[in-house]
Amino acid sequence: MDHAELREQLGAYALGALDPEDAEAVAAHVATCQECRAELADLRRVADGLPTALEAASPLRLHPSVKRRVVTAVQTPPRRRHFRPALWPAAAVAALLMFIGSTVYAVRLQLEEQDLAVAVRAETLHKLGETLSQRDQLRVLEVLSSNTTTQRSLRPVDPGQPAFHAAYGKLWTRGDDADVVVMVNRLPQPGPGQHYELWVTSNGRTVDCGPMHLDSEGFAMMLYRADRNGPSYQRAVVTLGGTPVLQWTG
Amino acid sequence: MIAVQDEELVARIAGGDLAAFAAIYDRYARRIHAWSAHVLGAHDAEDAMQEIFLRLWQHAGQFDGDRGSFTSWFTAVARYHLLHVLRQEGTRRRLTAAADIADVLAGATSTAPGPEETVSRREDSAALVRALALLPDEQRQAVVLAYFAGLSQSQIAEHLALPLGTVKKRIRLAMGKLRDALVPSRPEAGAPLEGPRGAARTAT
Repeated sequence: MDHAELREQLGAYALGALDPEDAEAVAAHVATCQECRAELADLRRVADGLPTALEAASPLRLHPSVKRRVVTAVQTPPRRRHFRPALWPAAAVAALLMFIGSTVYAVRLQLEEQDLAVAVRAETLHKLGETLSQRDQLRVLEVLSSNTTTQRSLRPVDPGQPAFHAAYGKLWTRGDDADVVVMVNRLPQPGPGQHYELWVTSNGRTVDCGPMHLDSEGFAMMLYRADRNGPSYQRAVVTLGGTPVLQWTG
Repeated sequence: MIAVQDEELVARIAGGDLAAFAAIYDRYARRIHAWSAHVLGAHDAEDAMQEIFLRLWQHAGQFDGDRGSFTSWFTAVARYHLLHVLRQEGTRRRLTAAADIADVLAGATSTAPGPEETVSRREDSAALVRALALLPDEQRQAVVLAYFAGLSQSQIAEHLALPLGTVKKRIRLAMGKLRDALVPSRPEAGAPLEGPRGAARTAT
């Protein structure tokens, strides 16, 4: 496509309505053409203004009570089946240890001794009255012990950064079920207002799996339900305050 | 009194400042609510709002003022979430939502700006509302299907059983008219520009 043809596509590009190949061609052209860049800036103002126009035209009104709900919600993010090993009942930890000694090792669990020591120590130190349901404990063990399980290792995005030098994570998926187990360890505590968050990418679509809350040892575990059995991921990333800190890329 | 800029508020949100978050909520809540309600239905609108504002709270640190305005970034965050939810609803729901939005925009005659709207935003919004209402129905429909229902030009052509060229032309003409309504004094091709965005040119 030449300049004139590409310029005609700028409106659709600003709306996000181009097919991927055309969008790439427009993006490449805009990067080198000042005229089209200026035109696109104006068209983006139009696109960004469409929700405002809808707001102005809409007869719908927002109830004031929603604000309290939203502000409350951000202070207590939804706990999407994440949990800390610190909160596991002793029986579950013991069961996990037994698995480590036999079956789980065979499926390449490779949980380091130290991780388990952390889990057990934390278990004895903390009794917060909040426990993972029996059903979810069993689901974790099912994932870790299945012979269809695949393990991926998450490594620091920037190993040169001292705070994340020793950090790592693991992600287990089953070939015959939608449960996914993710653990991270040796992460520094997040700053005020920051959270660790897990993201997985499948077929070009990245999904936010939710926050991962560290225990005092920098360890966290999450049980996540994928949208299909045997999920196949190309990438898994743990972010801190929106910045990737751990990742695995297939 | 000079209002604190969105960009300053979002930097404070990244540091965990709840008051800054509440201020941004006041500025954007009506917009996100109307958008969510018309796209997903009133029943799911509040859940969507909560999710969108939660993303703002959790990812405010990702905003980079050098790459565009906060409005542009937050609009992209909201659109990504709403289209993600809408895609799970199936094509019929997307077409119904787009038809509803096109009707609302076609019948718009006045604007009711929120208390936090600045003068320039209010003027922009009013100009765009008028221009959208004046578009031929088929051009408005094409823009709405693309933006609010997240359909590509080829998908629109397929759903409306139209040649792709017809859809492209409708979108091109519509966006040109909307652009002219918003930026009437845009310099012609080749004229030097001061910045990457159009805001500076309309501020005088």
